[in-house]
Amino acid sequence: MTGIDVYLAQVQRRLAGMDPKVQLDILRELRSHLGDSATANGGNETAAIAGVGDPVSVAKRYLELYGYGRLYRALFAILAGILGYFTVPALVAGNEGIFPLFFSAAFLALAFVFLIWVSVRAGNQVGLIAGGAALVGRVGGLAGAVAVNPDSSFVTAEGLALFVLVSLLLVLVGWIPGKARQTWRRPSMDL
Amino acid sequence: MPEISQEWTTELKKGSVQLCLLALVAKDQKYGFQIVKELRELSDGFFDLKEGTLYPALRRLEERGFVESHWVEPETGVPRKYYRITERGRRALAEAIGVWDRMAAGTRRVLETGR
Repeated sequence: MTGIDVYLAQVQRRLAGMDPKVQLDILRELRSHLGDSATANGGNETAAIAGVGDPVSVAKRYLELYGYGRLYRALFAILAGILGYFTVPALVAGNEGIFPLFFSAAFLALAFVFLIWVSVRAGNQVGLIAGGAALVGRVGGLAGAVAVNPDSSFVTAEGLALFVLVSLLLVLVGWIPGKARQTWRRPSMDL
Repeated sequence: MPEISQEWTTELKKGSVQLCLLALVAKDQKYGFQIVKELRELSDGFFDLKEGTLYPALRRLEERGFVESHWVEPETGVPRKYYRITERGRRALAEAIGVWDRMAAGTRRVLETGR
């Protein structure tokens, strides 16, 4: 394994989540550049690698440009949906014991943290979709709770209002942090 | 120790590097290493940036539709990705050069008063 191979493997690790086709194209271009640069430097791979810069910053620039690929975006939405599903019992449990309440409250906290992370890392659009998936998950959770307990008298008007409010809050939490980051970051110097 | 901040110079470079990249591929298609080398030489080392910042800048131009790229795989030697300007890029370049010329001329006139 050459120094260039090691360097490219480091970049590739940090490009995880990006569309595989784009990832391959980036790595291929970097390899081509490093080959040319090493030749121009009398075969000195270290100088060629130093000219490109550290793998973390290099990968970060590409990730900022291309973002996460479809697979990861779908994965974020699925995870948000699952988390959303398990947040429901806390709101409809009524006379249930402390464990399901605690369990779903923990999921709700986890869902908020996860959506903030997605929104910041992957952008507000991906965050919005994940928030929407969490909402769908919650609706599924509620439907499941009603199906399991046909006597759904525990679903009070206040409970439903809280359900809708928290569901919408999840969507907003998926959208706002990414949007805020986009708004407050340094202005782009693109043409 | 220079009096002006390094950040100011960096921002100047950032603001003009895409214009230079577009100009470099305006006449002929070129590959990354060639572009980096020409940029460095023609600018007398002013654009001696990390190559890791130039490639994403080129790709940003591609995302905007200002340049297009394709791989050339020679029978011997390394495959290279070539960039060339698009019609849209040509219009953007003309527009940006116009802005640049006005800014440079205006700045020069103002700076003359302070020499």
